[in-house]
Amino acid sequence: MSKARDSILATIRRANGSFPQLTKDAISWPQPRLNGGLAENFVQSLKKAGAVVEKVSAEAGIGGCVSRYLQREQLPSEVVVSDDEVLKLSDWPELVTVHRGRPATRNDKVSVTGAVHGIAETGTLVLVSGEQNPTTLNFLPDHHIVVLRESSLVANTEDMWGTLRERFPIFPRSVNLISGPSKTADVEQTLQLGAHGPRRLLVILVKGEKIN
Amino acid sequence: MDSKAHKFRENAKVALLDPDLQRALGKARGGFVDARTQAFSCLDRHAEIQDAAKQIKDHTLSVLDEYLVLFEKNVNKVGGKVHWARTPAEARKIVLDICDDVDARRIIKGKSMVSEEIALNYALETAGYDVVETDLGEYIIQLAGEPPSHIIAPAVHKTRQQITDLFHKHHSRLGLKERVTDIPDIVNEARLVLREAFLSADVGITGANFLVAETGSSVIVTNEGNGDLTNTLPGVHIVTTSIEKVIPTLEDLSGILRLLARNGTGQEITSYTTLSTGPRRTGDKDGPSQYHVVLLDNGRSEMLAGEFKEMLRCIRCGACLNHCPVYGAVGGHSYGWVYSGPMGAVLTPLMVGLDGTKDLPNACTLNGRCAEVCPMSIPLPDLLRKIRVRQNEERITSVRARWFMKAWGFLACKPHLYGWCLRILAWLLSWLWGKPHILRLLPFVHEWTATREFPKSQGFTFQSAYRKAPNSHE
Repeated sequence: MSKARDSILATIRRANGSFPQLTKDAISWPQPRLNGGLAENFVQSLKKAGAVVEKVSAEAGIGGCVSRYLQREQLPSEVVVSDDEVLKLSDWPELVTVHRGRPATRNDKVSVTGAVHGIAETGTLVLVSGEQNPTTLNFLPDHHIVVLRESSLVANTEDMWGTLRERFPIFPRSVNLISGPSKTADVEQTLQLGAHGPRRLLVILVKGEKIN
Repeated sequence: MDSKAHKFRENAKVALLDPDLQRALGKARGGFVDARTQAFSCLDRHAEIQDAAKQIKDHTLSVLDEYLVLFEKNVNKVGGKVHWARTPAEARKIVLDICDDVDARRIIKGKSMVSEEIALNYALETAGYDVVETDLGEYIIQLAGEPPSHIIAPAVHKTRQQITDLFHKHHSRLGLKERVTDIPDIVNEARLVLREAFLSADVGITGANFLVAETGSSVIVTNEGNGDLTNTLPGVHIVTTSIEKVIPTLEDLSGILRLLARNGTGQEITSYTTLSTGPRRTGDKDGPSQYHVVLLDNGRSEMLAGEFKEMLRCIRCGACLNHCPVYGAVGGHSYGWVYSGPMGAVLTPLMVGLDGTKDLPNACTLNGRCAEVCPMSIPLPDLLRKIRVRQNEERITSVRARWFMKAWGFLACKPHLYGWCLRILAWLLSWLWGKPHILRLLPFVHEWTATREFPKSQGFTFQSAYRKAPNSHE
């Protein structure tokens, strides 16, 4: 279909030929100011979108927090966990069966993943696909638990793109900005959680800096 | 789908008398408007953001060829493929060839208006594929065998009762015999049925809200997560999209995203915004092994040259539909094609031709609410007026209307003569009032008196009353 390509581009060039090219130089995107701190904004927005947020003081506490959630929600003690480094630092209670290093299957009820950033403005988690982070973990199970270091919070998405560009010279296959559990309002404009993606989203915010 | 826009008048009449449709539209109308107002009440620097959005789109369109080539280069770099289609037929062929090439049987789809524009489902089904729409709204209308009636809420015209009936009819054979009547149960049943489709599909087709030139990414903005399962689970991901969706950088995406969901559903941001860039990478444990982007033109490149260029800034948020009194009264199906409301009344004539769409730009009161809410500052009423002018030039408007306009134009340029004619008319109308048998014989009058009382003329014009009034010449 290279004929189509040439023809479309030629029509565009012919059309634009009679107009001046507009430069981008003078265009600047205003960024909304946050009312309050990063963590406060982040948590508030996520809760508004229907997510549950828990805080732990160190990585070691992640497993316990997950286990308590499973009990509270009366879920089987079985989770599929991504190979994200933050999750490797956790202690897992013996009663929880942990599957690692695989994508989600239809039988997985609960997944646990990390996130590279959190966006305070909108309460958004930024998840990036890769060898250690299969994308199906973010969408297939009924419950998605995301662990995020508080130090990874930034104000706006604009504060994150630069870091992503540096970290991934080749842009990742999938970048998922997740701002709440799956929902739909397609039946009589009435909001209902759990359309096709996770019915519940639990975010565990880990205090403090990354330990190297 | 073939355009049925030539039947607008009949469709609108039927729609106005359809109690289910009116109930459904009544529910939606206020909700969308209030949600949008609420969402913008807490956005800092809204006007500035909107201005930047317009500028960035104008910039992109002015060098569209460069951004499309850059986008293509970056898709190639990560192992994806860009296909160019001048027409819906070319686009359908590209998709059919890909599906044939991978011996696909089941195809799942995320919501894509471009796919509706090219009538892809019909082509795929005719070719023998099992096609399943996975957005709940699209799934409902697929079961009903109907086109979408709203660009972001395709099943907005369906009541819960109708959905219950549809599910019962179609899901009974899957062993789900019980009628689901509550909204949570309806959503759950769709989740259950569609889960099987997700896990057994060979090809996933989604649309794109944006294409980011800098990275070669296609971006979808959704709430349900169906789009993400569609672009992750099957072995092949096809994006059906169009050339004006490209934007320069990730920062531009951030900026425009602040407007999209607020204007559409009234959300600050949707649950999922996903950037897909090429097929799965070495070491990846999931994701499609093929990634194709089909770039449709279908008249868009021609629009760049002319007076409808501004329409190409449209980001398909749906705000103009939600705020349009005509759309609110007759619903999307009356418009007869895939796009409806103000943006549809502009796009449909330009894409399917002025002939056969002549009522669309005229079914507008030019009240201007659409232009007021448009995040991309598209002057929709002006564009509709320009189409009316074109209709007149191309003699698509009726002879009677053209002569009437010509006569009125002639008089309007001669104020004295105009004043005299009006004085005669005012006197005539005053004399005719109370003589309905004669009144009915006058042209156009019946259209008015069919549903309303004809008001009594005072027998003189506003101009003459104004001149007689004390202090009128101060």
